[in-house]
Amino acid sequence: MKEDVVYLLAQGAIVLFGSAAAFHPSVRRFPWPARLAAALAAGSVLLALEATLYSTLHVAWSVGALAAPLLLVSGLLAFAWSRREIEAELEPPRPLFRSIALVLSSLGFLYLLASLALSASTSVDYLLFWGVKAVRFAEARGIDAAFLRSGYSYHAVPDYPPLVPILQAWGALASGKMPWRLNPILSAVWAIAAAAILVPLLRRKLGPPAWVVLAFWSVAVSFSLAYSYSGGNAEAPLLFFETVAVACLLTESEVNPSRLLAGVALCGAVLTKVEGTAAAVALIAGTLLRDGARRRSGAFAGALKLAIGPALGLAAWFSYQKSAGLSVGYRPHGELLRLYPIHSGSIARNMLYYLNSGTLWLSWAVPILFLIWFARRWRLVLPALALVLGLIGFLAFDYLHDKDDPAVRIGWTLPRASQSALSALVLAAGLAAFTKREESEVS
Amino acid sequence: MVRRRRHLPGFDRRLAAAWIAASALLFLPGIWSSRLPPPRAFRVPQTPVDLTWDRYARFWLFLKEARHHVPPGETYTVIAADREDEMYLYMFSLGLFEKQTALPSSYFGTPTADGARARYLLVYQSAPRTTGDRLVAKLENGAVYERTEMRP
Repeated sequence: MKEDVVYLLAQGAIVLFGSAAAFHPSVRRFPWPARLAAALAAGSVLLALEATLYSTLHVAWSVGALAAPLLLVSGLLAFAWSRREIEAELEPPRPLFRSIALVLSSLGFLYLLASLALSASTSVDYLLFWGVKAVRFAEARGIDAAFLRSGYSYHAVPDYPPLVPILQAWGALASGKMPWRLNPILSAVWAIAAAAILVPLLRRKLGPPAWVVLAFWSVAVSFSLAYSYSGGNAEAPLLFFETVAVACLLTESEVNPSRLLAGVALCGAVLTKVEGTAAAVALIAGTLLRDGARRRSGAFAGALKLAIGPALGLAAWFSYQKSAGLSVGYRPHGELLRLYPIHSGSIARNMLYYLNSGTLWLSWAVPILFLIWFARRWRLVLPALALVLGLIGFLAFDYLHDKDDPAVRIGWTLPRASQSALSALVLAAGLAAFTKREESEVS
Repeated sequence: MVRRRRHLPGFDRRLAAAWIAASALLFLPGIWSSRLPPPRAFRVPQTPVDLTWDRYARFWLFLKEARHHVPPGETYTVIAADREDEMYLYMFSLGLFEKQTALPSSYFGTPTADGARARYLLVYQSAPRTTGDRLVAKLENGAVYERTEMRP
């Protein structure tokens, strides 16, 4: 019990590690829950980068050695950023449906929490390798190269990026024990943190209707996470990072937008899962296309700026792999262009079937209907559409590499791996439906 | 020139109501396809996978019980009558036996020679084993043995 409390406190300290983000001028005007969520994003990314760097340089992890530099750097940045002037933002009016939307969102999250707490949504991958890596890393006081190199760790996908095991190992290092039953419950925190950050971002663009989009997003994502066994694995953090990135880019101002938070979130996405890299590429390409279509000056430079975060994340992980004598990069499912189109029919059928998200496809159908209704505004939401199509296309391409019918693998992976696409689709539909007509005409 | 507004103020309201209704509607199929038991049957789970996979929950309980009988720094292997059970037990054990060294008797169904070098045997249910090993503990779902004769 005591270890569980220390583990929780250690996880809470991750917010302190990224507290600078809460004081950045682009975030400071947000309400406190959103600022804490931004700090969680930055803290997770900084801790993962620092811990990976330590292991590359053969510096042993300890609570003090990991925490002190992050607290110092974050504190100094927070001080510097908090002195910058920002425009005060008026508290927007509270529409009638805000309360209803909040109740629906809360009920969705309560369902998710119950499902995780009662162990009905735990990922088996958490027991097979996510949690195992965390335990081994904490025990080895660093990323355990010997474990990753072992021929008997093949199932632990040693090439997967390290953010999730590092965050869990950090807690285990501080508490001296891995709380196997508690950890899956914490997956809900990522979804709730994403919702917290969506509020000011959507409100900036949509005004009062932001709440109803938030309600649909929260309920759809909660049922999807519970249905797809996402407790304890990397799905919830990946969903968080990709949702923050896509929401930042969809709602950014037209003039000189700050892309700090989006860049941090994309760095987090590539450090969380391989699909995070595919999503980052799609999202950056979509943003470039949108800005190009708007004839915005500096569109290419803006896209390059956005790519710094994910490039840094990949560089950190691949540098570690090289320094530890591991294969550098990600293990492909066969040769790149050796495909088995004979399974196309099965892939299409099964992908369609397994996109039901625990709501009999309603979570997908409703935003698709809204997007068709407001199809003329597609350019506005190009980054999100690029993420949806890019991610689903990436997964289909991956399944086409299977020599045997990948039906079973689709059933195992698609409900989890498609969640970021679902999130982006809901946000795209919300923005297309509620963006003011004048603004969409300008765009 | 004053531009005529195509969207009346009420349009956004109706649209918002449609989104709210759709959000509420999600609960019907969501709860219908839920894996949660009725509230009366709620209980604190014993393993991380009690309501997820019963079979894995049994593996977890066996390993949790067995780990106290393998001293830190020692080697162990898992033996099960079913090769797939054996594989999962080995993989799960890596997270629970962090201070011991696992030597699998098989990996993805293929027997390995390394398991024979392990000092402790975690025997799941009634898996066959060589006679002469010392019984360390009898567990609910198997037993822990110590090899009296170690192979080099």
